[in-house]
Amino acid sequence: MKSEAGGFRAFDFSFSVRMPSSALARWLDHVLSALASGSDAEHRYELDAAGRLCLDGDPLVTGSTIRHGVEQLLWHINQRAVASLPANAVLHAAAVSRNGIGVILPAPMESGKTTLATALVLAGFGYLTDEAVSFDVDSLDVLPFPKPLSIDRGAWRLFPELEPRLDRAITGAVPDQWQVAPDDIRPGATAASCHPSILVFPRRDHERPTSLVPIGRGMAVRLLAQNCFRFRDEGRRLLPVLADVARHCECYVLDVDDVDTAVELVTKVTDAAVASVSR
Amino acid sequence: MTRREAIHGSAVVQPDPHVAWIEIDGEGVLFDERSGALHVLNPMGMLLWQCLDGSATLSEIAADCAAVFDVDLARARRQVLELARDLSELGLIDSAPARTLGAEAAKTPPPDGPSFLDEPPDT
Repeated sequence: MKSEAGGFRAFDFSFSVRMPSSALARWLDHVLSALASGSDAEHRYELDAAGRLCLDGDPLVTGSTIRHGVEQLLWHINQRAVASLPANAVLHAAAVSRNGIGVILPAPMESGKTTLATALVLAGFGYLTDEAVSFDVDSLDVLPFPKPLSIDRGAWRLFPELEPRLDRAITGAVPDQWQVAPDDIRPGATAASCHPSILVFPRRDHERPTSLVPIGRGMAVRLLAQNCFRFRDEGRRLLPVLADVARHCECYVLDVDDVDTAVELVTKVTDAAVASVSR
Repeated sequence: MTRREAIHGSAVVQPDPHVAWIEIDGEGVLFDERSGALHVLNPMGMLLWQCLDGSATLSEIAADCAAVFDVDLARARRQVLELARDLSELGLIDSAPARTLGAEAAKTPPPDGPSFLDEPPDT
């Protein structure tokens, strides 16, 4: 039985994966379907039944459980994807688009990026990523990184229709987070590269009502920098790039208590931007 | 003497070479490569930052500001010194020693002007 998954491409990182079973290979092919490259991979992961994970023969995880190995595999793919574009400004951010208007949602971990991105895609936005946004050096276009949306247990109640239907043979082997392929939210949900037009900095806040507040571009650059990979070491080079991004965008802070209201607010400013472009 | 106390009207200061900065919509974003700290200057703070070029004293800069914006000289001096002291305390500017004098420092009242450094909303 075939146990090879891929090839895939995550930004400029091209890879395939040998999984410990054909059922797990099918699962990985499904959840990473939006990254399928249709070409030979440059790198190869191997995960064995003891949870040992290697990349190109070099050990990454010495083994514990298959589930741990799969979690480490998905984490490592993200790391390699971010590292694959060393010249680019790469943000820790989710991103969606509508009619060519790119909406970037930069925020640290556990800020609700994936929850908001999922809800926006369900509301009709195109999906770019829930993890990392890379800007093309010359055009500043947002490059898609349509990894599966990694939905934490705390958000499952919001999206019961997205609960993965897993082959019983792999239920103990896949991560505790739901890994949802974008096409499982809506066929054709993955969006093409687009220009950044709106920056929304989400903050999970249950102390006050959901609100979308405009901020100055100087503050937006500061918040971009705080969510930019490699900024600590390359800030002098990256600061003008982030400023260029902010110059092209409307900038907001989004306090999120209620996700539905947050989606309404983001939709409203996006539709206004779409109307402004089409005038 | 603290860094703050070392800033007085006859001081000549300039951006620290480890500080990268950009201007956007009149605001300034400063990045200190040594500490990793980021600071946002409001438009007035940014205007003053761009005057801190290592050639004019803070009093001279204040006099220029007073003339250009038609404000009271004493008020302009307080505001320029307040910004310079904030920036110095944060390690974002250096003295240019050749023109650093001390006579005017003792006459300078304690800072009570507005802050030129912006913080994120509700943080």
